[in-house]
Amino acid sequence: MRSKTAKKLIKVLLAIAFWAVVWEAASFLISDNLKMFLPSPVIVVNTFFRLFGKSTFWAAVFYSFLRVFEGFALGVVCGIIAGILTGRLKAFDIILSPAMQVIRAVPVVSFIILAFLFIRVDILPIVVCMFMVMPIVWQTVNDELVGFDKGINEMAEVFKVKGFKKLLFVTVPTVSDAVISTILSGAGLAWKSGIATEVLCAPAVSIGKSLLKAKNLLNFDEVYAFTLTVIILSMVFEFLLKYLYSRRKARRIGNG
Amino acid sequence: MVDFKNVDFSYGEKAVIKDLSFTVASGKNLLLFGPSGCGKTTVARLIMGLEKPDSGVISAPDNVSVVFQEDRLIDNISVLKNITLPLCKEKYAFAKQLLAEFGLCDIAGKYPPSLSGGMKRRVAIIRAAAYGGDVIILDEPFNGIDKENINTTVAILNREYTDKGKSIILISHNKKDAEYFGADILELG
Repeated sequence: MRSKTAKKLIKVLLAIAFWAVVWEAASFLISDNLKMFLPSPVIVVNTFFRLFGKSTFWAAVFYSFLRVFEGFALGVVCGIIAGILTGRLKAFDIILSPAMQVIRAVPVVSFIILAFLFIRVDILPIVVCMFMVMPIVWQTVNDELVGFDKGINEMAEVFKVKGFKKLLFVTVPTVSDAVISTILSGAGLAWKSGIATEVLCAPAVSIGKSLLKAKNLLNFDEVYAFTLTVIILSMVFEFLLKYLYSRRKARRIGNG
Repeated sequence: MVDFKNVDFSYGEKAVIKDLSFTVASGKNLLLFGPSGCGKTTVARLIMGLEKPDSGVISAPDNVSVVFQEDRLIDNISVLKNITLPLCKEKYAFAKQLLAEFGLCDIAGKYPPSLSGGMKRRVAIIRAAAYGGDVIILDEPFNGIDKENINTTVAILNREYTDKGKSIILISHNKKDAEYFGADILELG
């Protein structure tokens, strides 16, 4: 098991090393007047670690993380509630489902521009994250409830498992795998939409504003370093969620 | 008691049961026997109230227990929770006693995906036996179960149903299965 993990890690490190070499070569070969737009990976990594020493960097990371997390969590909660309502009650299906389909289809940039007219910039990334995550969670919850396992439903009916008990021990466990899988895929989407919103709306302390500022000052090494920061944060966030889920799943499929 | 009087049932255009009448008195057991598609499981579904007859009258107790043809266990909750799910707290000890009688105490905390087919089948039987009810329906209950565990199942179900004046309705392709429960045979199809 341990050697399998080590092999996987070596493969990942080799892939990173390969692309770093490609990047370094491209940066070396590019003409001098364009070099500022493609600094070498060594410079970017140096800048990345230099940013580590700045309190403003950590404040930006903290507040951006908080906004994305809040938006993501709200999106998950609202998506689950909306999914339960449309999956169980016809009236809510008629009213809510078209709205969810529209929200899902609206390009994120259009959404940001429109929401910008009505919502404060410091909470706009939270709202955008929420509206990006909510419809995909809603869709899965709704589909899982509409197509709920007929056999399990009949079992609950015959054994008279009803109400809250049925919801907690029959419905939720049966649909949870698909819903959790969707939530995991929504984490990456939350980061992309959250940071895009910050770049367009520039809330006071944020990675997005730092990215924008670095671009305006032509500090492209910082642009790359902040991008690297977002990638790492997004990966850590997804990793933590997947880790929690895989532990739960292993307990179920493994030896109990 | 289960009583069918001139019951007809069809799935759309396809008539599955025509003018079926039978009675299973309390304390009596019945084997529903016949080829695939003859309506054995449909009769069971009618008894459980999962289907309504097109015509005729069905009389059955409100508390029917069942071992479905498929195990119908919930994957994301433990074996013990699957068994105790339909039970009131007073019956938890009885459920644990049944697990012990089947020699399955050590899997109580495990989850269905980690069990073998035979184990899942026995868990479904324990769930039904622990639930009780005046009638238990067993739809092909011995699929994937070895001889020793069939004997255990038969002994426990006879103790909990036949000996207590309740009824067992067994669905099987094998006529000899009636002998396990001293059941009358109703041939369909």
